[in-house]
Amino acid sequence: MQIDKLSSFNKRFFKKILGLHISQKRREMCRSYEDVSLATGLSPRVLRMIETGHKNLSQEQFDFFISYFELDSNSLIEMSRITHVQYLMSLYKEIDENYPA
Amino acid sequence: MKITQPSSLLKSQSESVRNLILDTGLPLNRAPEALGMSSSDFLQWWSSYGELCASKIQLKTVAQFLGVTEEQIMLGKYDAESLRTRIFVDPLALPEKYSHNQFSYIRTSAHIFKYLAISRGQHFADSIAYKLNVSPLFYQNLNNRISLNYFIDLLAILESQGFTQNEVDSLSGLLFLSWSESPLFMKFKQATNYYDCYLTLANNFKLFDDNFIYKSELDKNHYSMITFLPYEIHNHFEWQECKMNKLFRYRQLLLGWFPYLSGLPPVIPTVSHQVKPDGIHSVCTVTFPRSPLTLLSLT
Repeated sequence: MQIDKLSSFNKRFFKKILGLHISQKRREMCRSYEDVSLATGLSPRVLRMIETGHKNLSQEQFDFFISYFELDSNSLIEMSRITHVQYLMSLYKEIDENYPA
Repeated sequence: MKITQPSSLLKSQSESVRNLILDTGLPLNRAPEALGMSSSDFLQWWSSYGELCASKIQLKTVAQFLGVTEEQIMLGKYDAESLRTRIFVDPLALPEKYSHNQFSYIRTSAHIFKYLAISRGQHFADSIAYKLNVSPLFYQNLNNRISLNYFIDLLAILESQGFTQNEVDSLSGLLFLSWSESPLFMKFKQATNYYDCYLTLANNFKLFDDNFIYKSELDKNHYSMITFLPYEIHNHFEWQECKMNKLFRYRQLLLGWFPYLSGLPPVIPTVSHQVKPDGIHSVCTVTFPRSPLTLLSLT
């Protein structure tokens, strides 16, 4: 899955909800930041930034997180669709005369 | 458990929890579980008559156990009778406000809670349910029913939590979040054009709610949903104009987003409402685009 494509409608919001999802998975798997740091080579500080949506993930890092946390592709697509809906809604608000005032 | 010497705040928390137990008649053999304490710690606290205090964690745990907020316990603003029902009869019991005229299936709001969990975390989503005095577990069965008052209050609570109008509007487009594995979703997914999509909707109104009297008009270019909300059977409603306007705004956008479930771009309907002595009459009309754009594939 391409992170650029999934986040294309709203990079900032996608990063935020992806970070929350990763944080939840990490806690479900009872892994500490140190555990993940050892596996990824990313510092605990950077991992916190990722979980709070303050750090961009490279495609390589994204692929690793998918594999390490067994992230479900349907969940990732749902997150992307949320940003898609929000994008379309803001577009309709601007251009559609039937959009409620 | 950490039992501390009382400060004024801890003492107040402790007293509030004690009052809650007394008001609701929570059996003392279930109280340790409800407060997340061992039996011996609970007995030590309960028999200390204010000399020892429970911590904030106990307040939080008992709030979650009973499906209310910590603030409601601290202020003593809870419906003791409905909590008693929840303790002694049914953990999923609804407050009176939502248990009369249960005409709405909760599948119509399940996607909102899923969105809250995805965008703010499960804890936040649960806290919204607690603010409404409803157990989050109520959503385990999407065939559960509830009063329309609940949905009206849900929109108001989201607004009070800082949700912008744009974000609330976008909720109407997120039905797929909770429906993606349902037979109903598959029916919408099989529709390849606007006509089939709205035909599916017209044939499945009963799976949404019985609050409104529905009538559909469908041809190859338009779909009109004609609804009537009779006052006669909805005298339990809190008829506040601003709240009803928010509800109708949500429903208008929702109607336009069903095509999204079929892979088609949404269409914002036109709408007209008439408030008459017998109820609210409404007509929402979707005009199908002549050459709709194809939605982008995300896979």
